[in-house]
Parts: sequence; C-alpha cells; structure tokens
Amino acid sequence: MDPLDNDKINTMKENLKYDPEDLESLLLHKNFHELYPEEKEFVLRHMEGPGEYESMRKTLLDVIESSRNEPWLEPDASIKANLMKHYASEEQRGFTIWLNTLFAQVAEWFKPQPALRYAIAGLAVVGVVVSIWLVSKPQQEELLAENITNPANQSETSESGAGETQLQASQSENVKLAEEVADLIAEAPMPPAPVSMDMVSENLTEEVNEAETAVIREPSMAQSGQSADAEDMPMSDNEEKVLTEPATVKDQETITFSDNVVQNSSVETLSEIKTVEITSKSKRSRSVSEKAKWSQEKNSGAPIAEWDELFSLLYTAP
Amino acid sequence: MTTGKPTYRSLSDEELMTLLARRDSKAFEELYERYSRLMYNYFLRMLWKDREKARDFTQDLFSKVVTRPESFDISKNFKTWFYSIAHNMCKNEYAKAEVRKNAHSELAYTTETTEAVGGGKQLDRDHFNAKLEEALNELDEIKKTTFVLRFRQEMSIQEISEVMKCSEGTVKSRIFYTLKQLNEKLKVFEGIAMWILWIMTR
Repeated sequence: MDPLDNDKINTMKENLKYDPEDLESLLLHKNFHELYPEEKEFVLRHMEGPGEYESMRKTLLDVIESSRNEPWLEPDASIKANLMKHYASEEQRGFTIWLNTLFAQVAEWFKPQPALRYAIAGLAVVGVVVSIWLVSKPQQEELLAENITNPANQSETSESGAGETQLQASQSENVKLAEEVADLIAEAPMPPAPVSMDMVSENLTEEVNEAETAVIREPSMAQSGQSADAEDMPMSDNEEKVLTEPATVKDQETITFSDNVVQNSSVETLSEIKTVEITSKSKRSRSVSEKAKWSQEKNSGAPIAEWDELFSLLYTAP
Repeated sequence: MTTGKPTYRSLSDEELMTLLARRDSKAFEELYERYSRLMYNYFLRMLWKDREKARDFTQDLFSKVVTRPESFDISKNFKTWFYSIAHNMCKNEYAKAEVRKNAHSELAYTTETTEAVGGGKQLDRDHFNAKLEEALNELDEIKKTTFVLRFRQEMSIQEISEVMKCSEGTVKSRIFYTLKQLNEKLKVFEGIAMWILWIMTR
C-alpha cells in the first residue's frame, strides 16, 4: 500500500472521532444497522451494545415527541398587569434617582470651589434683577407713550410718579436748550456770575448812556417789535430804557427760554416770566418782560430779588 | 398610518433592550410578548410543575429586567442572558428546596397521573409524560436544566453553553448521560406500560 494512502486513512480516522453530540445526532437519524463501521465502533465505545443503542434511540424520539406534543401554558394576565405597574413605579423612581444623581453631582462639583459657588450665586441674583428690569421696562415705555399721545393724562401721571420719566425727557430737552444758551452766552460779553443787582443796574445805566438799547417785551410781541410792557404795565416814555450794544456781535440771534427752562431750573418765583429774548440785529438787544417792574423797583430803591434770580439763572444755568 | 407595534416586532431583542434602558414601555411590552410564555413554561418544568412558583418566578425575572435594564451588555445575546438569569433563579430555588424536593415531585406525579385520563395511545403518552417528568425530577439540577433547555426549550448546544457558563463539549456530554439515565428509568416504565396496555386490551 502506498504510504500516502496510509496517511489519508489516518487523517480520515482523526476526522471520524465522534463526541457525545454526534451520538445524539446518530441516535436521531440512524438505526444501528444503518451506521458506518467507524460510527458503530464509536457507538460501541460508549454503549453496551446494539440493544442499548436502539433503546436510547427510542427514548430520545419519545422525549422529543413528548416535548412537541406537550401544550404550552399561557402565563396569567395578572403577571403582565403587575409588571406594568412595577414598570410605571420604576420609571418614576428612575426619574427621581436621575434628579438626585444630577444634583449630587452638581453639589460635588461646587464643593471644593467656594469662590465659584459665590460667583454663580451672585450672577444668579444679578440675572434676577436684570430680568425684573427687562420685564418692567416695556411697561414703563408703554405708559410713557400713552402719556405723550394723550396729554390729558400728563397731570395724572406726574402725580402718580410714572410721569417722572416724562419729566426726565423734558429735562434732557431743556438741557440741550440750555447748552445752546450757554454757547450763545459764552460768545456774548457777559458779566461774571454771580452778578448783583447793583452791578446789573450800573451796567445797564452805562449801556444806556452808551446808546445801547435793551428791549424788554413779551415773546408774542418780539417779532412785531412792540414792547410787552407797554400793554401790561403802561409807563411813561422816559421810564422806558433802551439799551443798545455796539454792532460787534453776531448779526441776529434769538434765544427763547420756554416755560420748561424756568420750571426745571426750579425758579418758581419767576413763573410769571414768559420769555427772555436776546435779539441782536446789527446790535444786541435784551428784552426782559419785567422791565417795567424792575424800573419801578430800581427807581423806588426796593430790592429786585426776582431780577437777581433771573440773571443768576441766565449765567449759571449751563 | 403606521402603528407602533409592527415596528417593535421587527426589532431584535437587543435593540428592544436598548429602548428599554431609555424607558420605552412599548419595548418592554414587546419583550414580554416574546418571552413570557417561554419563561413561564421553563419555570413550570424546572419547578416541579408548580404553577404558583412559575408565575412568581416569571414575574420576578421580568422585574429584574425592568429594574436594571442597563445591566445587559448589548454586545451579548439577549436570549442566553435572559435564560442565564432564569437558570440562576432556579439554581437558588433548588438549593433552598433541597429537602422538599421529593415531596414536590410526589405532588407533581400525583397531579399529572390524575389529569391523564383517557384511552389507548393518549393514555400511553400521558403515562409516558408522567414517568418522564418523574424521571426528570430525580435528576440533579444541572442535568435537568440541560435536558429542559435542549429538548423543551429547543436551544442549541452553543446557547446552552452560554446559559450554563460551560464549554460546548460539557453540554454534549451532559445531554448524552442524561439520556442514558432517562433511558434506564424509562425502561421500567416501558414494562409497566406494556402490562397496562395488555390489561386494557383484554
């Protein structure tokens, strides 16, 4: 025999080594007389003889048949109901555990860092304040808009405190006007503040002597060139003093102080004064509505406190 | 319009477990539909046909899955993991009920024989089942588990080895020796059965 054939046979013998699983397979599929000689050899190594093989084969087939025929029992419906209840409670518990774990982790993270903890607490407080402010801001704006569009409400809002914002707006407007006045005053040769009434009267007298003319009149009459005092406070011609400055100033400038300027400057005693106009047309004229009163007071030697306040306002307002 | 149920049916056990870990109740319901019957009958066979016990064990088994779905490794096979939990539960029960084992098997045998009333071939089969059940209850826990998993639950050798945490060769060997032991026990039954049949046919 060829040595190569011997090797092949040995290899085949190695491959024909069976294990108990193969025995099960053999029992299932073959009778003893159907087995190959190698299979018979293997079977007889584990069993007493063909009788035991056939007996085991019968038992195995019966067991399998019995298993297949055995009815499968259905579990009680109560099992599923109980499990679904358990599932729902577990879901709730799981969420609670998750939350606790989350907060525990956050707390653990903050524990060794007190500065960070305080910083975040501060930021949280700032955040709350800002959010409150942001929430209240649109309401204030809405109220202000309502007041502007409906002037009838202005007196009510000023009383209720919400008008404070309106007052602030008008103040800012007046500050602009005051700045313009300040610029013009700075350009014009003005007496240094504070100015006493005596000094003012002296200056005015000098200016009169120098043929300067100051026209004191109501604003409504300023353009028409009439003197307001002519109607309000009739006086003789010689009492009217016209101060005229030299024509070195700008050609024409008109500055009007509205009621707000006076009110916002807290000069309540001068509420009667409607307008102070400083007009210069190749000359600079000053018109004060209380000219007649001033003249009277000056002539009578009485104190002219209101005049003093007016000028202090004029020179110190900016 | 597509309903949720067919979608879940098309998912694998492992995918359902992933969903269950995210607290998807429908995934749990689908898993219950797939395995409740199998596990109930497994426990029934392993626990001496005790229906109360089988019910409690089935409920406990699914409760474990609900409580800790994250304990399942998605890379593993769900079926073998699930059966290994059930196997461990039975092992514990066997350890606890070692002393009462014989009493339970007696009770089971009595119940089965009482229910098995019929004629001819059916009677023969019922008697065989009862005897087989008795023989199985006399086996040790490992052999019985191997036998039930192989011939009742129809699991492969590889799956059984994963459930019982042993090699495939060990599983094969256990099956063979269990069959041999059952064969010896059932030989006696064969004689009795033949005698009963002879009496009935007279």
